[in-house]
Amino acid sequence: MSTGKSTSAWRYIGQRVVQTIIIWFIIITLNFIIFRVMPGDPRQALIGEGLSPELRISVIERFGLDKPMIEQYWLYLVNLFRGDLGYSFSHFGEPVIETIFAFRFMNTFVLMGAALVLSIIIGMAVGVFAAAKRDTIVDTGSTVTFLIAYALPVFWIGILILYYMGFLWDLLPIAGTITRGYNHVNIIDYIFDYTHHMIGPLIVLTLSFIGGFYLIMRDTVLDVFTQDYILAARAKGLKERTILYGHAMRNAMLPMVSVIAVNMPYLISGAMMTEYVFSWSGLGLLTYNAVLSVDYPVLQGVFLFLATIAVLSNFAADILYLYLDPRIRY
Amino acid sequence: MNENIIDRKDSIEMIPEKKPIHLRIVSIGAFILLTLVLLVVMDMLIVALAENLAISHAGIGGLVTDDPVSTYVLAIRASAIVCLAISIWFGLLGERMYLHRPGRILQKLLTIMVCALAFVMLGIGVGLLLTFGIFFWNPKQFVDWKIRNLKIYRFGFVGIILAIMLSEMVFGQPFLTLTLSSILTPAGAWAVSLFPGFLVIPLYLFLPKVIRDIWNMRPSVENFWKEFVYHPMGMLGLAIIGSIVFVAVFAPYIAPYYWENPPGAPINLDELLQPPSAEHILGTNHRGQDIFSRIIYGSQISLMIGFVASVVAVFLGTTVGLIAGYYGGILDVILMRITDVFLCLPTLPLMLIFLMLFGQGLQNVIIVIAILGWTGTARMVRSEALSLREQPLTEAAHALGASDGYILIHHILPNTLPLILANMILGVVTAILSEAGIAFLGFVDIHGQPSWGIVLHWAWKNAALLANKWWWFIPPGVLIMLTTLGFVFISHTADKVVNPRLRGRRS
Repeated sequence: MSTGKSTSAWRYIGQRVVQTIIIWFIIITLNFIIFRVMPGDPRQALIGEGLSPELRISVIERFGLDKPMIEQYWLYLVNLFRGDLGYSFSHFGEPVIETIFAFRFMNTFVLMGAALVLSIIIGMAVGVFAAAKRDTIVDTGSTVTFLIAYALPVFWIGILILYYMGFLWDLLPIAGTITRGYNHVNIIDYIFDYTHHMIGPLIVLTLSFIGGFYLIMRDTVLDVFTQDYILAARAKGLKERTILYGHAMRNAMLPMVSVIAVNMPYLISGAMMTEYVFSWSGLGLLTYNAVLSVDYPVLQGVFLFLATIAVLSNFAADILYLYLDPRIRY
Repeated sequence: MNENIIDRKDSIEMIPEKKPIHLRIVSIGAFILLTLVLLVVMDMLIVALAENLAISHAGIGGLVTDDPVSTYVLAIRASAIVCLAISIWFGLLGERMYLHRPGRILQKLLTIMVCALAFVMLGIGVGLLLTFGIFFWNPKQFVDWKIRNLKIYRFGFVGIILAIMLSEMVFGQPFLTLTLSSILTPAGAWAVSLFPGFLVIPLYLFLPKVIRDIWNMRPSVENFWKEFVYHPMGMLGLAIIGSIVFVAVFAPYIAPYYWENPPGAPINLDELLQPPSAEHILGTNHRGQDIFSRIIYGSQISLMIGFVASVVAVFLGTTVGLIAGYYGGILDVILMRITDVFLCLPTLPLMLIFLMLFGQGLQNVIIVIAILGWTGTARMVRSEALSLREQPLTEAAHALGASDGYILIHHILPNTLPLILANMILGVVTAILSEAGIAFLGFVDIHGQPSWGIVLHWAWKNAALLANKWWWFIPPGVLIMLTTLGFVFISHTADKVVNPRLRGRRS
């Protein structure tokens, strides 16, 4: 019995791996095609105006832009697997990998990770609490509050926070990740400065994530309350808190996992808007500037990287689901 | 004598309770609203399709230039109106035709449409013709086919498409999108380019049927409303959305000024960047335009993009979901993998790139929001269709000889309707927020009629924040928030009403 289940589970995981690889491949190909089909010629963007014809031809040959499409595609794949994403047009010919990963990825990762953790913890805790106090003033109040948070445009909360906390009350710095032109005495001073700059974007992102998490948590817990095992737990005479946080919340976490995975692109989009408002030097600001300066290699790299994260998180959610919910058999 | 009295007593009890008047008002109001929206959307769809087709064929020999385009569109619109008149007549008199065989009619229409695609795009058209032509012509033909033949046929089709794509890449010749009109004589090209435009017209034939269906939905609307009335949150949302729609519709009468100063008007330096005053309630912007009027007019753009993008996205998602869930098999696999790919695409960068490349008009904003927003609906509708397909009602309908199209439209679609409507409301929220975001970043037409996001964009660009001009950036944001909040309230309440398990105790 148990061996049968595990082999079928392994087969399911194998299927998912194959599917994930196929999807990833399609995205790689799309990434290649989008940046070739576009009306704006990358050669034009790369070279700009006012180059002598010979130099122009040599540059085009140097970047392999005169080869047939299929050969370019092959080269693109080979370079990709070697970890070479080309060179940025506008960042002084810096390798794209470095542009993305040197510090920008870390900045985005820290900001988004912190906001995700905060919003998940607060959203879940309050969601479970509200579900337990269903239809009381606490429930209605928190639901309305979080619905408002859900309805707020991300960038506008950013503007408000900047205006009140940054400008009027002078609590937070206006822009950037660290204070410009300030020599940090030691690492603790640096971390303090960094955190101080992060508070604003962190509040904004947390507010924008939290509404969705709270609503899902509350609805799932309400749903879980109608299940038989809750009744059984009550009949056993367990404490209400044990039932709430031990039984209901653990089971309600399942949909959360898939919601976070599926909404990854939207969460990242929210982070990008926040970065723009606060001039937080991460991937969002990079993308914005790359679109404005038509920096194709950087765009391609960011696009690929974000899509890969989304693909991987979807895959991870499926596997986690299998592990978390013993009822699922494939 | 006695019997008579008893009879009368019975009949008195049989008289149904009198309905409250608000129920009737709401249900008939909803009917009128939906019908109006349907008619307007149909007209917009037909004109947009005709225009795009004309423009895509306009490159051929410079034959269809500016002037013929408008006559072309006019011609199509005129014939559409004729078709509408005919179909209304049919709907009133030839009721039976719609009651009995709409599925068949749809099937034939689809056949014609797919055939005609060959005229628009030769490569894709021929391929589609090969696959779907046979299927839509007579699905029963598949029954006679052996599985092996079917496989050869399917993989052959995929192979042909792949081969064409590859050769396109290698030779650089657009085979797939090659238009038939481009290899005809100019006169023939013009005639051919008219043909696909006329294809949208048969859609009008379905209007009376749909309108009658909406009319028949009144009892469920009334039931919904009976419960909905008791939720203050939902009523509040409805009130908010109602007043914002009112403001958008009557914007010219509410706003004291137009959204821009008349072109060529002299720039008066005293008029620029004014703080709020009796003359300008929310001051003026860097060009001396009245911010309050811009916000009022902005509601039109924001709401329109929200509604249209959401409707388009939900339509796309529903179609994909229904087909994938109902037919299953290889179609399901392919469609769901496409959905998965779309789910993983990074939304914001893609929107920015798309708008940067294909222009920043309203149409493109709607397209890009819709293209990236249909996946959720597709997944939900698919799972719903999958479960409905297994239910006895589908089998019974099959046994009665109903076609797949008939079952899809008459049994599966109505049962997924609550889900679709819920998705549509939440889709409006997403669309309004997305539009505001990309407008704030400045990737839409920022010099045209403003949306709320564009007002915020100019406020940000002119450093209204650092100049302490709260009247420039607070009101548009509040309006965006109120609109989305209204929709969220409605959707939250509707969820409670439709899903009784969430409803709780009402004291």
